[in-house]
Amino acid sequence: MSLQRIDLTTALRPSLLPDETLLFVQDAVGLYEGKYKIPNCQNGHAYLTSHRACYVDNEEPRKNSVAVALRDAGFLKSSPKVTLHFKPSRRSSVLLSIPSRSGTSSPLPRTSTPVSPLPPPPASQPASAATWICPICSFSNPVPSNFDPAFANANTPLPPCLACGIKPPLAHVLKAAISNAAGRSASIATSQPAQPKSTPLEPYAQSDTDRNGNIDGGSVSDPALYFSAEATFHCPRCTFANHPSLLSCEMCGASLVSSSVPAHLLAAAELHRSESPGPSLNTLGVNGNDTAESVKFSFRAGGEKAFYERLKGAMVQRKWLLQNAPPIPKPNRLTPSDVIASEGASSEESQGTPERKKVIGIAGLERRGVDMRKNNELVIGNAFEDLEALMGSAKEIVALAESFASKLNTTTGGAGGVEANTLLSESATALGLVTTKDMLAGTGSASESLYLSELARNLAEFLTDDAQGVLKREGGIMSLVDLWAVFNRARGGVELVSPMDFEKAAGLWEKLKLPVRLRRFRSGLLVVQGRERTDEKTIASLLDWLKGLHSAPGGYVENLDSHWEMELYGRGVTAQETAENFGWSVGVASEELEMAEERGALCRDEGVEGVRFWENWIVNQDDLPIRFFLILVFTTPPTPNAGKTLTTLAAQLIPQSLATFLALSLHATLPARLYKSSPHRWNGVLTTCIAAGHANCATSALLMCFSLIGNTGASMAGRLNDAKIVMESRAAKRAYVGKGTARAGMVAKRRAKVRSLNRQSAMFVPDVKKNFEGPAVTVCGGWEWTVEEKVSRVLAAR
Amino acid sequence: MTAPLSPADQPFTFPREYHFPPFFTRQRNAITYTAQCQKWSKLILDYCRAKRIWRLPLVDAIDGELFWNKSLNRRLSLADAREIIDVMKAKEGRAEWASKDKNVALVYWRNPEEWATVIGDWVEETAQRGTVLTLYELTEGDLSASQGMCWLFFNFLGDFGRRVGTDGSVVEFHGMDAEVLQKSLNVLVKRGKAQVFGNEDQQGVKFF
Repeated sequence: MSLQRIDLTTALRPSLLPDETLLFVQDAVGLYEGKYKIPNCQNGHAYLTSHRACYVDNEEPRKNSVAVALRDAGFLKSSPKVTLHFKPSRRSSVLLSIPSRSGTSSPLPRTSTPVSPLPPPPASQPASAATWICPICSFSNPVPSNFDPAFANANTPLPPCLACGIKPPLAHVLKAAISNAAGRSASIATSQPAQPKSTPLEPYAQSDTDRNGNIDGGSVSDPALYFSAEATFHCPRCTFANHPSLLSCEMCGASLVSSSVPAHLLAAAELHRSESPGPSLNTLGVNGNDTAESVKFSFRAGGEKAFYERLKGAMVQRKWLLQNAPPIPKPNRLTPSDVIASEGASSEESQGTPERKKVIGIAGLERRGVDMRKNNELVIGNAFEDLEALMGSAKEIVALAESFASKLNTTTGGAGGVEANTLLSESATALGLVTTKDMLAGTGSASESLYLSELARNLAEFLTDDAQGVLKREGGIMSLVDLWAVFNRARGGVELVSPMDFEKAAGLWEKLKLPVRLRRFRSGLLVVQGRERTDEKTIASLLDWLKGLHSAPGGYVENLDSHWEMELYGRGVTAQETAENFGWSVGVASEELEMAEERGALCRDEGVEGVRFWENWIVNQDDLPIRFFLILVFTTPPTPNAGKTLTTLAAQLIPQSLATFLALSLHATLPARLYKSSPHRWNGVLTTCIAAGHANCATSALLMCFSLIGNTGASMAGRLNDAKIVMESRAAKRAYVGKGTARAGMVAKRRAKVRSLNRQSAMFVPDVKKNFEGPAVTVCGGWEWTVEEKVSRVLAAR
Repeated sequence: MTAPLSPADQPFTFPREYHFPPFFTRQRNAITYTAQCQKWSKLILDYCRAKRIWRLPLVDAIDGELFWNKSLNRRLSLADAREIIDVMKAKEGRAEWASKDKNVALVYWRNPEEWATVIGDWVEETAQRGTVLTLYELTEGDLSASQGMCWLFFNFLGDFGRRVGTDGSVVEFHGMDAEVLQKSLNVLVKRGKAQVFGNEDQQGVKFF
């Protein structure tokens, strides 16, 4: 009934139902519901399959991808959009309305009135009432009765003008026929706009609904389109094509505004033109309750024609009807399943077997051959009966062609074999599957890139497909060249991919956010890997494996004299062994080993029997845990300046900051909150503390805690002031203030000074010596010591 | 008393990494290679100190146990050894080429400045100030030879005697290479603590 969320494959394409086939792909597509843009669905790919029309968003494919089941939709076409109208939910008959450009087939009612009874199916209209006016002599000629605009093309014979004998252009006659039909449809008052570009209609002949549709269609997408679509307001008197905003004909002066056009509509049209982006919906209406009457696919980069054609084809074929239907009985067929290796095989077999007479021996084989030939005849005959049926049985035909080809390859080596083979392959290609390139409209750079991106998706699907397990079989990594070979082989000789396209497509994986990635080794070797498989993971698995070798003797029996501390160092491995262990190819294994070597996890050992890789015991192992941890922490992406942060500095600052915080919060005075709760000020505090002879603030913090005199040393902004002895003697001058900047009385000043002095002596005496001797156990000896020890160890390691 | 066991005959205990096969291959990773060079440098210095080698002829030494771990069947190539000596020279000044073709290296387990200090201290302690000694006497003569016995004694004590004890350090220059001695004495001359005189063969030194 309405938009449904769809499942996507790993390659971010809609996952197809059984029997569903992909018909067409177009990029740069937006989505509308009714007249409103659906936010988040304005830039994506449109996938047309035999069952559904899908929209897959470019930005957030998993979230904003929807589909319309074609069985729920009748559809209409307007300019660069394809509009799909939903059928009423309880459908009594299949509603399929394709008015489009065929003016003579009577347009069906809009499904905005779903309960209204359906009109009779389109009957072929006698068009004899229509007339066309000769562009040369202006004589009104009747349109020939056998002229059908739906099927007319350049080759249709047209009678010359009855008066002057000059043949009219086809478009002219078409126009006349369509306008005639439109005039008739106006009486039904439920017509839809035909494609305005190719068949401009007289606006006055259309009903209100009609005009509405047109104006919306134009204004929502683009003013330019609106103009091009509506620019031809034909004067009812002289047929001159006027600009739509004119009120009277430029040529003859006749009034162009008929009474049937409400004035506000024109005004609305003007308004719409001024601002291009159409109104948007707030949410993506994909719940089942939503009763939007139509969904529009807006094609911003062309492709709507091909989409439309294929859509029409899909609507005619109605493959979804077959989805739940029992298999078509085929009484004439005695199907051996090896000929038709396609979908119907199993079911056909179950039907076919009971009928088959049991004939054994050579006669049986012959009989079998005869049956097979008959069946093939039948398949080919059926297929060529008409083109629609051919498309339907394309699968079978291709399977057949393949079986022929394989037979030719295996059995005959004769002179005719080669020719027959080439002929066959040609015809197979001609018949072949709808190739990816065919699914894309037109040519040119836009469709080229679309082709590549589709190829990239296809590849990603191929790689990650669990059933095939291509990537898994290769140990999660394979070279691009291998993949190319496997991929083309899997395509069975049809629609091969050129190496250049292949490489380009592989390069697109990153951009398309697909679950595989292309990686270039230092030697230039290109490999394909799962996205989640990073270098770190590879190294970790390599190291794990090597660690496991410490105890296990393995098959590495070299010279018996060559002994090393096996328990300590484990043993070295060659690329060959690695390849065997991980299921990689040898080239990939050696590249991975060298990558790990480059990261410093492994080291090499070049002996007479080749290069072996060992765990890196050359770099000092004692440093590694600390350094590894720090690097891990400070190079993990969310950290600003990841990788640049001086790890030791950080290791120093964190405990010190904590200590400072503790120390300062113990001595918080009222205004001090300003300084003491803002960590960026602590740096300064640290510096002064250290300058004052403390190893770090942790020391002075405890000093301040437990000493009686430590409480109220003269300080400024949290820093301890020097007690100036000179000041003591010059009593006349103002002494230091106790704390902050407030003034205090004489006594208080004196007291402050004494305390300040005492404090300094208390700090210096026990500490100075220690600080000159380098880090040692400080007063408290607790965790601060541990911290210091760690820091100095890290520093020493650098 | 039998002939003293010369230091060159004493077995040298090699460090752990000497038994790690990749240690003998030049590493390509820069960080690993730096670590490798450091360890080699330390090994060479320790080895030369233990064996009292001042002058290391690389071409011969490459076949010796220092660069060739026979039990592992791994050896350092001549080019790699040269590279390591280069690094020792450039980074820490712990080595120098005695010849331009890079075949013989002077290994400074003490560099000339340190040797100058050692000799100066020895002069001080043995009260030789103002005496004149030939260079031969200084390194090969009875004075230092007897001290050499003393050195052996301290060597039995192990690391402690060699590194920290003042007596131990005094005797270290017994059998010292002439070129290194020359350089060390030049340092002393610059410090104003000695004067070197005489011609090429018969050089003498006077300590102040």
